Amino acid sequence: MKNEYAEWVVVWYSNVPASKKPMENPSQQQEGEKAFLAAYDEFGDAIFRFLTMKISDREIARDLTQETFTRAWDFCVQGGEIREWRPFLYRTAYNLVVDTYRKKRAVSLDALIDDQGFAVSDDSAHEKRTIVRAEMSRVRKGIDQLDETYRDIVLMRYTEDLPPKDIARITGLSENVVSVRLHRGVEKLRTILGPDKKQI
Amino acid sequence: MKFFNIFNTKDDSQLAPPTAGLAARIKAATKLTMDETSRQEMRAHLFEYTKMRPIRVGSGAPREHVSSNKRGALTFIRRHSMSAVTAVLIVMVSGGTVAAAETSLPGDILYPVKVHVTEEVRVALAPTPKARAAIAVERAERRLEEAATLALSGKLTDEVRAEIDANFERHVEDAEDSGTQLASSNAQEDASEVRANVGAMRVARENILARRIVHTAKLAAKAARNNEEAATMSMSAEPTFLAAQEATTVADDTETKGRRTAAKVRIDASRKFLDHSPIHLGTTTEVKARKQLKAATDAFFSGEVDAALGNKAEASSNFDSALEAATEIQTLISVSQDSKHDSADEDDSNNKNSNDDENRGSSGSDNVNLDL
Repeated sequence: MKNEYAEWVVVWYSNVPASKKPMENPSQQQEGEKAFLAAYDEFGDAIFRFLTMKISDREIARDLTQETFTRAWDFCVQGGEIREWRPFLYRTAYNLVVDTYRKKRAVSLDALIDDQGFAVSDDSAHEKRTIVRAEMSRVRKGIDQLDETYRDIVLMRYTEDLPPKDIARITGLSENVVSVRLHRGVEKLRTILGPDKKQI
Repeated sequence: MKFFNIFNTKDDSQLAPPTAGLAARIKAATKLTMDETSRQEMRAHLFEYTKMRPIRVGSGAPREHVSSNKRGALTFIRRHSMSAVTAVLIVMVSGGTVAAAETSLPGDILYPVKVHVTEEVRVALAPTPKARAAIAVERAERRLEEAATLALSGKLTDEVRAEIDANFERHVEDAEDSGTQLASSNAQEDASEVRANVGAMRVARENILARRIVHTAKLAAKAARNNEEAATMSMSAEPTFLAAQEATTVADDTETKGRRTAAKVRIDASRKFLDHSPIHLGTTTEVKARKQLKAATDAFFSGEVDAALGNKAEASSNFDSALEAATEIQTLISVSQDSKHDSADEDDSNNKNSNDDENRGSSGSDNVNLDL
């Protein structure tokens, strides 16, 4: 039976015009690679930042960033099509943390970012730079005091510039819940930061 | 400059939403990027990964391009014999089955479809002995991957092992036959490549299908034996010394290639296992296994880069490390499973209590996540 089947298919296949034969287009791999690497160039840093802030460990975040992208490629290999890379990658990264990494954050956001020095334009005066650093540090400490529930969403909205619709898709929450949490998170952060000290 | 605008009251007051000042401050305070070296390294790894796992023919969007054009279909039926049309219908009806069978493992209902139908069709469609040999080697590799996957979940029984081994041998013999055909049609280069691939598959088999995990020392001993055999085989017109030297190089290459294949098979199997684990691993084991998988993948990629650059010794050592790290994952998982069984046997009631506590704990943390 198996050989007859194979012969039938051979006869049929030899009669199919070349243009109709599936996947005799070697460019699919190339196009896939191109889109994949372009997505890495565009969103690699953002995914790394997102993961670093989520788990507070740069080394593990680096590993998970790589894993996020390899999973995205695996999805393409299995026949999936990624139309919007940004929400797809964030969702993959988010799930990766939720599924595989449940450790509680041990390092504060401020220590994490302060560690590697904060980039301020070179022509800035030393005094101004100090002021900026102090203010940034105050904001980071404020964010750290937020409950995880609000913190994640505030960071996704304002650091990652993701619209509430995408945040809802990434976290699996409804858009309405995201908007409510965002609003509450911002209010809480305002309260934590106290009166506006922008002109310190 | 941009940062100082945040502190400028005039500029801030011009921003429409009341949260704009705070939003900008959050963004500025959380700027973080990967260092350039890491970024480039990761890019290189990902590029290698796309080469290691290419988009297979027949997968993806083009499947949707099958024409539903009425005129085209009628013309097709008029132009082709009944048997061809039947074949097309079978392909169309069984398309889903075939796709589902692709991921099946020995013991699954659809496994025979994968081995005896879809793969046989591919062999029948291969136009040249070289292509047939490549498919046979790929099939042998698939058998090894199946064995590695089953071994991870503790389902590689002697019976299954024997079945996979028999299929593996069949594929390797097919590859050898194609190699002989190539040799007889004066395609010596292709023939020797097929021989090298077959040798590599046999080395890989030792690691995956042998009853106990074979470590690299044993593989090295086998390589030494291979060297002697190869030296005897290529004694023809050349002086014995040169022939032996060349044979040693060939055997070394085969050995490296074999370990590369074994590492690749184990890495792929481990990744699939961890992603779709049928067994619940503890968080600690899973994190450890993933770390190990990462180490194996990194070593494998380094090996690929070295091999591409012609650094044979480095490539060989990297593939060794990759293989050891990948083999370690199996040990890690089986130890975790064994200890789980032991503790279950020792104290069922205690275990139940602690599980209840754990469940309460985890549902508690879920509540924290979901509450507004």
